[in-house]
Amino acid sequence: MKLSNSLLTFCLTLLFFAGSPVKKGYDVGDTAIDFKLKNVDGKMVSLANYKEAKGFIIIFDCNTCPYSKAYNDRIIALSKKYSKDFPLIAINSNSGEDSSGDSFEDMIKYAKKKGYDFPYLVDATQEIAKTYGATNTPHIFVLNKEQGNLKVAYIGTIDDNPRNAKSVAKRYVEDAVDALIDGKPVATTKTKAIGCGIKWRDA
Amino acid sequence: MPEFKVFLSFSVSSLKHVLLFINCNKKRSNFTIRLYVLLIMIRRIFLFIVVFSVAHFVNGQNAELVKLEKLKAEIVGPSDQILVYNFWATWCAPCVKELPLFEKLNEDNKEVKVTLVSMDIDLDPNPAKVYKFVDRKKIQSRVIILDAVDPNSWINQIDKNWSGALPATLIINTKTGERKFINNALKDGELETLIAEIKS
Repeated sequence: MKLSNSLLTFCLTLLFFAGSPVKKGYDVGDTAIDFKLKNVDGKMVSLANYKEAKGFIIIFDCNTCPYSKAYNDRIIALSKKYSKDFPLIAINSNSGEDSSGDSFEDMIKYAKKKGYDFPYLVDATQEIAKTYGATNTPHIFVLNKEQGNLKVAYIGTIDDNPRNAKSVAKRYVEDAVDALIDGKPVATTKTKAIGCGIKWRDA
Repeated sequence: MPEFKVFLSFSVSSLKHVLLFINCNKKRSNFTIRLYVLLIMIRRIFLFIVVFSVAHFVNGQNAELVKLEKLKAEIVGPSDQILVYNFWATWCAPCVKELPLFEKLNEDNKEVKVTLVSMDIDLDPNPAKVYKFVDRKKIQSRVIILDAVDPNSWINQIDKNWSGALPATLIINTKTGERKFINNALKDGELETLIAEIKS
């Protein structure tokens, strides 16, 4: 038993070192993978569950980041606005151990308090954040269904003003989703913003 | 100690007035003169309190607000020192945790110029939090507060490898043009290794 355990650890370590440094996450135009992650209601959520959706707004988010808090109402509003065509899915990839207030129990409380009507999933292995290339919170990936594939159409921030929702000049995510719904090309496909780094587990 | 000089000069002049007041009381001078001296004395003391507290407040405000263009020009150099820019914010726990590494570098290595670039006002336009933080933690390294809006328009100009996440550290040798950019928290000793690499 002990031998097989250490053998397993050895293989996993090998796998980790073999696979980790190459991937840098998705670029616009890449095909995104689906996932199966646990929601705050205890149920597993996959993008495949949403047969009617034209695409998705995936948000890597958390409970604790001041930028996540500043954008919280805007995230809820985005979900309400596009729930039919582009459902919003929030994912917390922060290591609950390295970031106090970001555990699964904390997520349940937070979603309840804020009245989330969209899934808030836990990425316990941080594998989805790594595969997608999420670095910040909140970090948005707009996916568009094309011939059954999930194509990355936009990567970046929600808008150009974290301080004040009323002073926003450029609504990047809304503009991208509106364009996709209208069958038009997305004008701004990539943006950057200051934000909290995702709290990675120490390797 | 400019604060101390202010304190001393005001103490001396206030004392003079107190003596004058006592003196004219002794002499039983007329009432108007005594009232006049008393008023001057009160004004002195009031002024002293105001000036002293302002001097104290200004002393805590040693973080300069810097526009993007100035920071961009600075990064290019030329400089005889290795330039180290750490992008941080008071709300960012991993940033605050690694600040002592930069403070130590600033203290130990005079061939390096350390600048701590606060990103706080991207979220909250009032820089008071940063001033308080710098004061409370007795930060010795140079602190600047980046005064710039719409980060999407300039993050790539600082470094194209920067995701925008904090903390982030930029190390530049302006003589060779070599740069290193680290978009996560640094481990103990990592900073020294990176500087040794860029120096040679």
